[in-house]
Amino acid sequence: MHRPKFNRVTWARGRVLGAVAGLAITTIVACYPGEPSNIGELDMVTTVYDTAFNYQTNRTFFQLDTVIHIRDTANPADTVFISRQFDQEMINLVRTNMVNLGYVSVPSGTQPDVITAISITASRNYQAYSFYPWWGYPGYGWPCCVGGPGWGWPTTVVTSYRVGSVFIDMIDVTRSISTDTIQVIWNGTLNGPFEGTEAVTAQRLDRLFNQSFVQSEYLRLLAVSPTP
Amino acid sequence: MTATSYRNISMKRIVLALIAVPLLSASVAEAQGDWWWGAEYTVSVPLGATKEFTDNTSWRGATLEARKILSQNLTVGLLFGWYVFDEAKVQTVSRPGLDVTGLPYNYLNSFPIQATAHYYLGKRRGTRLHVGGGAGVTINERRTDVGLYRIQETKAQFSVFPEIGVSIPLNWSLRGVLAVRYNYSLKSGDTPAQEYVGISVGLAWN
Repeated sequence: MHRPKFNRVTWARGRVLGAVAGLAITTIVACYPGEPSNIGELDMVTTVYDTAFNYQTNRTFFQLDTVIHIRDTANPADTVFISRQFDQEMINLVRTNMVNLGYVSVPSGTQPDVITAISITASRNYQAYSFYPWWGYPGYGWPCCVGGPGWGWPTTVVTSYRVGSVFIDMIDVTRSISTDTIQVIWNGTLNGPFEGTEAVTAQRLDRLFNQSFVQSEYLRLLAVSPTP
Repeated sequence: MTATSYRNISMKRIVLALIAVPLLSASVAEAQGDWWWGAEYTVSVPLGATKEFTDNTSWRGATLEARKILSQNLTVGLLFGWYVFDEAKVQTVSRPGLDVTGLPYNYLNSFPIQATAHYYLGKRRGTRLHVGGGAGVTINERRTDVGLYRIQETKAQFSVFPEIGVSIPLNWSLRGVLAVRYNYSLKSGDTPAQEYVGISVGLAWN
């Protein structure tokens, strides 16, 4: 192949080619992958247990029939209102999972081995984003010339969202009475955005409550023989 | 300013820098003589600790190169790259007395900046095989987003790569390029060694 004589047009073409190739490739890279696509993907389930406690000593449980709504009494204005719409569903989910693990529900007035209690709280988080439009107001641009396109003035957007936490506590009744303090031997914490439609919220609660027990297989009673 | 906004701004700076490289380097070359410039789309396959962190094949990658021609068979130059790895998988992390389940999004942004050397086989105006390699620094940004929380670590790691490739002349000043590079960033502190194989397809011109 014969190479033409070098000239500025040749280099200008090379420069344009480089810019176009660089722009095309970096545009592909800049499409950021794998961001969360629905609100449920931000949920987390954490369970904490006592490694020294023998959970096989328990047989019976009592589920409190009221969900405790925790409020900020010091700063009432900061309290996020929580509907009681899902209270009974949450109670049912705990009760079902406990029975599936081999525990026997006892009626009020009978001392159980453990008490399960649900509490819930929510707070409002604020987040501020600042960004620079790619192509902004004429005359303020860089890297191009005056009057051309460039970066615009920064724009700041403030958003807020509610974050909710549900706590499931398992309380050892015998130890609590003997020590005169509430002895929590297992806790499940469900955390995530406190947003979404009624149907989505119900689905998320179902999934998260079940997950808290699925990942706590040590609670399962291996030889189910209720205490006489 | 939030971490997200910092990320957006830093990403834009990187994008601008990558776009600017061919423009600026072309100006330098005009003054200095024979250079080859390259822009490649790169697919990367993670290995080792990189694969443990982000298992998916990276389909988002770019490599930009400048090569100074020293002789008919030898060039030295610079390489800039940006490779994005990601993985999202529901996981339960267990510690004594504690289990946490969530959907962590793991990301690795890898930015190699390396000096290179290449040796070419074949005739100058024909299809040419080349072998080469490079050494320098790779900035590896490892990030995990889980729930409403973010853990991020950015580390500059010494890195090397061997390379084998082929280039096909398209006209007197333009070549199609295919190259395979094994990128290895050495362990630095608590940050494990990072490794991946990049397969690049692109154009080179002078």
